[in-house]
Amino acid sequence: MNLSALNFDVLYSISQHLDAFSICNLASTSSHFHNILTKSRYLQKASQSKLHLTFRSQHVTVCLDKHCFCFCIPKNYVELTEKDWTYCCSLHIDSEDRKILPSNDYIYSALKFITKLLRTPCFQVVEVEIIEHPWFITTEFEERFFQENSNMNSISLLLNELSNSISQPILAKSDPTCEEMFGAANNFRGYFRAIHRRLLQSFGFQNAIWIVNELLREGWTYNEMNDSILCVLSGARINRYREFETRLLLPEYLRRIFSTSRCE
Amino acid sequence: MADGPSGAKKCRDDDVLFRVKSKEDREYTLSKKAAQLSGTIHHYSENYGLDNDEAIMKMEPMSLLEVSSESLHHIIRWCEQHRNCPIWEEEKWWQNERDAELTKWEDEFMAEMTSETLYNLFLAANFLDIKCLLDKCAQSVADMIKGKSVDEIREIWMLENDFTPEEEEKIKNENPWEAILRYQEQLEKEKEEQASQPAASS
Repeated sequence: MNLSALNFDVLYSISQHLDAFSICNLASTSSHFHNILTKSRYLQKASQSKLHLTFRSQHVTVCLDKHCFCFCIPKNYVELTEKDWTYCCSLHIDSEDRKILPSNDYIYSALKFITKLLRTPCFQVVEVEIIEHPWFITTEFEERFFQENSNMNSISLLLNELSNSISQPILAKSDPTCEEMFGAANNFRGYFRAIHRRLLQSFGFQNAIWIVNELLREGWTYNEMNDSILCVLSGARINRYREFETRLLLPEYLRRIFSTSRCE
Repeated sequence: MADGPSGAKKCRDDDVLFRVKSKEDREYTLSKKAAQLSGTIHHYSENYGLDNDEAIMKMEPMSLLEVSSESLHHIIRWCEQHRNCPIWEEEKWWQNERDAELTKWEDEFMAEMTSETLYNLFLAANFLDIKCLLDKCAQSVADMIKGKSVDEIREIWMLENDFTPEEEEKIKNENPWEAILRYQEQLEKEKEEQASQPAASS
């Protein structure tokens, strides 16, 4: 079958059965398809694709039609390699089943991916849902982005969106514990952020806030926390914390650790 | 030519028959009900006053110069099988309750098609404006494309990559999934390099 010889109408009827992912791939095969599929009329289907971005403390979910990509931040994570993680991104993920520890490169890659989606004219972002603070998108990433991607409007829009949400976090109101934690987080933004980022990478956002709150009550200063957390979380000792999944157990355990390994 | 899936419906003796002719000048007949699935035949009937059974019975065969005998044979099989389906004007025909038996028949019908036959059938369905068949053909072709990489699609459909390297690079940047795929490649490359380093140093 010579697919290139199919007329516009026939091609259009095929595109009605393709998701945006396949349309993109088909458009990348030859100039014929690229010309046809990038004309607005033939991207009608793709332009109706619904892109949902959901930011939560534990993961970012990107859903484009039937393709769901989940960039996870650990809670009950299992250790996966970078390759595994990237592979997971290309699967239809049941986001609750896969908990993956991200490195900075992962997060960077996730953000880059989202940016690509936003920059593609055929996709319409229909929903950006920010459930909790996207702490993992830091100034460091922003700078790296702007260095590498000049003239990138979409990412600035995204980041604006995110920074707006930071000042007005969207919270699950039925979860007072969560709200309480956000209150603490907002009070100590800045220094806290640096500390939190390190905690987040190991324990997840909610756990991190909880830990910091607990430690503050104990009279720890941010400097102390920062140094100690760095100290505690460095090296092989990090593995010892992975069995502690609940935020109730974690602070207690940390306190005990800190009391013996506090960095001066 | 094969008769197709089991249980295929054919014209009945009491059917009013519509006469059509392939581009090879071979004549076929199909029931009036089956013919109603085609928008092209519908318009032809309006233009030539074939609005009653008597006129249809006396009609000259309608020439379908763009449809081969093989494709026409399959088209008629399809239309007879779908003769009780809503006619072509029904835009939302696919929302009607689907008969499981009919769906099974359709799947068997499509499974018979080689890519060449499917291609010709697709064009014929488009020419005759048979929405349900057009949609089924499009679905079959789309199924062959879905989940395939750019290179795989090129290989399956024998598409020539006629982009210049610069164009290809630009297009890759347009494709959002490239970012994640490239990252994956980069990781693999780095791992390979790391794996080869100790061996090289020793």
